[in-house]
Amino acid sequence: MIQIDHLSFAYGGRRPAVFSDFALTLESGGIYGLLGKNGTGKSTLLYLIAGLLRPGRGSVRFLGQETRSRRPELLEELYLLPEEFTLPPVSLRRYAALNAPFYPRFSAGLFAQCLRDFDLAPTDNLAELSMGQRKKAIVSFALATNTRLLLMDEPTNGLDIPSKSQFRRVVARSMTEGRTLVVSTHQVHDVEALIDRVVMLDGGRLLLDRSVADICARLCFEERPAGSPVDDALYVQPTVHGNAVVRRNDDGRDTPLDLELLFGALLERPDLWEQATDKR
Amino acid sequence: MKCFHLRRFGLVLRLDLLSGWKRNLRYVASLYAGCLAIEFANFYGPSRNGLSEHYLRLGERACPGQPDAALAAAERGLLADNAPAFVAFLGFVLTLAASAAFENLRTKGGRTAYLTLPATNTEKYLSRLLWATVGAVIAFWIAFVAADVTRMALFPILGHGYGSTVPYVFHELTHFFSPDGYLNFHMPDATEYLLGVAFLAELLLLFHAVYLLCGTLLRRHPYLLTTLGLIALGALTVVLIDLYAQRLERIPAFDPITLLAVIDGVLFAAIVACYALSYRSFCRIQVVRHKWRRR
Repeated sequence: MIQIDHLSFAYGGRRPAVFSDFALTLESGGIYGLLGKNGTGKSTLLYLIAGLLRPGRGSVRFLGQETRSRRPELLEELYLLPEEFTLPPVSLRRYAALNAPFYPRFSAGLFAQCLRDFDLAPTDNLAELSMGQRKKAIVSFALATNTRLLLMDEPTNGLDIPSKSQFRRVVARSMTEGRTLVVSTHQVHDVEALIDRVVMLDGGRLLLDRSVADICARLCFEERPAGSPVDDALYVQPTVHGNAVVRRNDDGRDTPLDLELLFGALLERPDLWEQATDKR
Repeated sequence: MKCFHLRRFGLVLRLDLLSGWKRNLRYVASLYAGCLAIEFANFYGPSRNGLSEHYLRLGERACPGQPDAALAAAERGLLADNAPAFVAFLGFVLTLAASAAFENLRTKGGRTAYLTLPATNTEKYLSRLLWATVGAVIAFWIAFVAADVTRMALFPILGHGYGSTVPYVFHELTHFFSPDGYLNFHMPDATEYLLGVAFLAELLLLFHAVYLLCGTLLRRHPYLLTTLGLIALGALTVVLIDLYAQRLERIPAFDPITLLAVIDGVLFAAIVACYALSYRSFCRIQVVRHKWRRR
């Protein structure tokens, strides 16, 4: 669905490259978690996919076409929910009436349902809503567009704790077969339960691109009390109660994915995945 | 790929107009205030103190021995003489609107929303251009008529209720180009007259194109910076002409028609270049960087 080949990109000639000969393929369907430290190029990658930035070299293709062309037939199949957004001072109903005709599969029913889930009314004026409510409003619109690709940049920023669980519920319900959602975030706990596939970036390079099922089949994430042996661990992170451990899943145990721990482990040991998949 | 789809263009036009309707209303209100200020500045004195000797004398000369007709002629003279102030204001409004045509792209959020809108670059560009030109002219006339009506309703209290200025502004705008207008008076030859009309029209379009181009390129204070740039360019031209006056005298004189034709050609090329650059710049805008001044 998205094919990125030999991508090089820098903000201005003198600045260091954000991406250099970067390659990534995103298949259709499922929720991708795009993770990485601040400044590693998560938002830049989303902008490149949406055609909002032009690659210096290489190509970014969506449905077989270069996204930099910003053709309407591509744009009506993708929606980018940016971290910084501007909304006009109109009611939610009018906002939808003005923007929905650009998206052929826009679902008014889903939009109304999402607004209800987020405790918003169609008559609410966007100028009078709080930052969090505005975010919920634009998330509702983004989901209702029913585009094949939905890009979300830090979607849970500005949401309070109950709203974050509301967000997860609404997103999970709105996902249909063949629809792809790419969520870029550094707040990994907010999306941990949602994502099907993890894409981790560090310094403009791809650290990991694996499905959650694959990761959990090969790695175990455990919390061990202080003093317990950690000889079998690939990575150890001290915690309040002892140690958080990442180890090979040799015994086929099913442990929940701990993205924060995995991220820390991969940053410290970039060869961790190779070690986990090595046949002894 | 179709570059232009009429229905989609209509949707973009509607989005551009209605998503900022409150702001658009504020613009019309500002234009109304501007027109009203000009009305007060020009007509308050004559309404309060009566027409000056100058106008009364002109009226008397136009209609000798007919006091009522002479007064009406004097009032018409006052209205006609003040029409250029409104024409100048219209010019200011049009260049300001051209400068602000792409103000929706000044924030990162605005750029993201507009650039990812499922429409072609041509449709988006034309929509903004249309509102910045035709929209600005419509807004000006609405505001102007409203201010004129306000003045006509209020000023009888002060003593005089002059007629509408609107027809005199129309006259002022069209008379210059009309076959019996000022231009034709100075250019009796038909070819020279047509080239002269083309020159003036191109000069106006060039100003519009330059302000539009700078509005696309500059993110902050585009109107102020463009105006300062044009003033600097004008001053530089005067200085250069002054410096090289003697060399210029050595250039063999063209006949006026050839000279006008050459100038028209140069202006036309400059207009096309400005609009083309503005469009190209719009098509290549990125969400971050590209602009000369980042935000």
